[in-house]
Amino acid sequence: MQLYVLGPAFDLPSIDAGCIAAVTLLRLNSVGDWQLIPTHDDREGLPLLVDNSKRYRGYASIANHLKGTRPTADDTALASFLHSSAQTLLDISLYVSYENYTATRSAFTKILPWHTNYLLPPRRRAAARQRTEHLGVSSIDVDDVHEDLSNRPSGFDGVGKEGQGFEVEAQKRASLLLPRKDTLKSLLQRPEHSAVFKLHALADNFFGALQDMLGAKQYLHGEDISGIDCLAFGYLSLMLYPQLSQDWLAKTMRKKYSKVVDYVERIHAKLELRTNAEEVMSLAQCKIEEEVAAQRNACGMTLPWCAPASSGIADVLLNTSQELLSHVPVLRPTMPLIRNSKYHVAVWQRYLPAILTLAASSVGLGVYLAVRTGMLTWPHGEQVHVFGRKRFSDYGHLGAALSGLIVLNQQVAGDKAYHAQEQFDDPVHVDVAVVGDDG
Amino acid sequence: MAMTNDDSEQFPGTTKQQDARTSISAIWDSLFRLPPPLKRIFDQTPLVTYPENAAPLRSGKIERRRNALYIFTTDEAAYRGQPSFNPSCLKWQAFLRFEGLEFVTVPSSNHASPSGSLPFLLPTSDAKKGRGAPVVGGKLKRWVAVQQKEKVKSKEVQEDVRYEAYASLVDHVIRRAWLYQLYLDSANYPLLHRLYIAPCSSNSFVQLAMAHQLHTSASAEIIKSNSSSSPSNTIDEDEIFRGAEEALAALAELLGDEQWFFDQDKPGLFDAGLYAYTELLLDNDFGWAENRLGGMLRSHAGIVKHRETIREMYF
Repeated sequence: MQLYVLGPAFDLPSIDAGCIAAVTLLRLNSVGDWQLIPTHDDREGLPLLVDNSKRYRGYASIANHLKGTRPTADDTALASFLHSSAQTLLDISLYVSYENYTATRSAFTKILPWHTNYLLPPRRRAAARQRTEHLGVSSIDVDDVHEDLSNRPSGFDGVGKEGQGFEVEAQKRASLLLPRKDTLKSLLQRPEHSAVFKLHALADNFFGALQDMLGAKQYLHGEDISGIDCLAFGYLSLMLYPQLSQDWLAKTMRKKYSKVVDYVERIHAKLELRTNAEEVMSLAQCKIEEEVAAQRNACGMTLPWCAPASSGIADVLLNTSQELLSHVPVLRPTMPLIRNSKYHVAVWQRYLPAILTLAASSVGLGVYLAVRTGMLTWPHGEQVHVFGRKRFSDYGHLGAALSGLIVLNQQVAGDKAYHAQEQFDDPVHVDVAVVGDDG
Repeated sequence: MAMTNDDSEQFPGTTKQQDARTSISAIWDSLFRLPPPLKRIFDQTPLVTYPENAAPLRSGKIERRRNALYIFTTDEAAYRGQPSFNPSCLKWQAFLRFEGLEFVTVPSSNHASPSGSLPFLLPTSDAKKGRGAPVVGGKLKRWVAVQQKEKVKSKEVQEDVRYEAYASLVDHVIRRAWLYQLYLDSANYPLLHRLYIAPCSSNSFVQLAMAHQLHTSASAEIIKSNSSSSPSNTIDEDEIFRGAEEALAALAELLGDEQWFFDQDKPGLFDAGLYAYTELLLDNDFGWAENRLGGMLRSHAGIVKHRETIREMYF
């Protein structure tokens, strides 16, 4: 049985919540012989469990396969709750906040080959931003350090700003005239502050509900650890353990929800999930199975890690080109791929806008060039003189423009004839010699 | 000798190549140059800027006697107070009914709403309190609570600890399946056209654009709720409906043989949220061509009964 996950990070088995949950679940069920393979290929979706050449994609189907029983109603509800609320918090904490994203990115750097490094983290960040767009917190860093500059004494942040005494004075006086004092309400309404409130409300909503459900129990189902605890651990561990510069999420957790923190640490200690990313990635140098096993024992790994999956050059090229294509405005597929559907979305349908744009622009360009180069003449018929009627140019500027267009057409033809004539004419060579007088 | 070079420029005939180059560049210039008569027109735009139109005289003057809830509905259904055909509107419509508040429904579209999405409510206006600001979507709950406080001191309803978890089942898992079934399943396109596209425009080009827009925004919503490491830009139909099936089973188990969810003595927001979907999915006259979700629903007798009860008591 092989489990493919995104590589380890932050001393946890994976950088993705679903993958951590799957690892925890397999560890909990301790199903005989299984291998844990770090990979970066998420085309099929991760975590991916391969059991007897059958493939189970995603945490839900893995859990379904392992247990084989229907989950209880509470489990289903809790899983959906974790998936919606916890995912939002993780998105903001790990990806949307710029300062934290640098930490996430460097964690990715350790586990990804160089080419995927340019594709996977930005894609995950874009997806996270899209998911949290409706909250209006995108790209706003919680308790933004740059914000503090406004409260510092004048001249603090500028080396060349001392010589502006007069302007500073004038500004001070002007600000006395204008009612721009920050009131409590206006402070609260400023986007970065309202974002903080929103985030704390979101966090309280999630942790509060979870703590209530946990109650006085050891685990969500009482004394024994169960499948749903694994999923919860997947999300909560990624909130608690990473060392981030904007650690509001972990702080909130430790400050207000110590029960939840205890719960996470209990699972972490019980299942021994601590993982060192460098050690796992160093398994790639081992050639044979025995060497991997020896290395594993030497490092004291508790999980059955294997050498990272490597991909061929063709795969790399295909992946990269697909990813690049999805960023070109017109060429990217507008419709998503729909799987297991009874009807099929044809390739031409997915690329419809691209095809239409290409067709329209090439027809337009073709006609334009044909008219310009004279292959196609605009039908104009014979010239008719009607006396007593006004000319186009007498109808103001618009008339002038219309007549100008007609004239222009004729002019182009005239120009062409002139140039043609000029080419046939032999230029006159005139030799001029000027003798300079040096004296 | 320097002077000879200078002089040669005065005689164009001597530099043939240079001349050819300038003629090519002249043609290129003329290709992209705006003709002078046209340029003169553009120089003068904007010609006249009209002042803004004043708001119609009738707006804001008349006192609103009743609360008006703006939802997706038809004129006829609005007149009879029938359920809206949009789940998020129907949720609030049902909730207001549960709370026994007086209101009329007005057919509207997303463009009318201050938040960009329906529903929203215009409260009654009277001389004493003046015009109430529109109440948008999620703020309706608080508004209802304020209204109820004025009438009677209603007792604080104790929320079940699992409320949030089960609410996410309706708001995410079932909503996903709903979006897929109505917007992405091409069998249901005639229904989608009747409900959302035809009322907006009769122009077939506009309709085509709208259909495309609805399709893309629905698929974007579904992709957003995919799990974070599922393959990008891919919708898995089986996964959606498997999730919905589990969700419905869980909800049926939660309801059990009770009349309302969470053992309440009267229906609440949660009941309204689920009813908003079940009403439309179990309605035989709704016009579904493909109703997989409804088929799943029918096997849960408790939820079907829940819907019938609400329908009889409140609509």
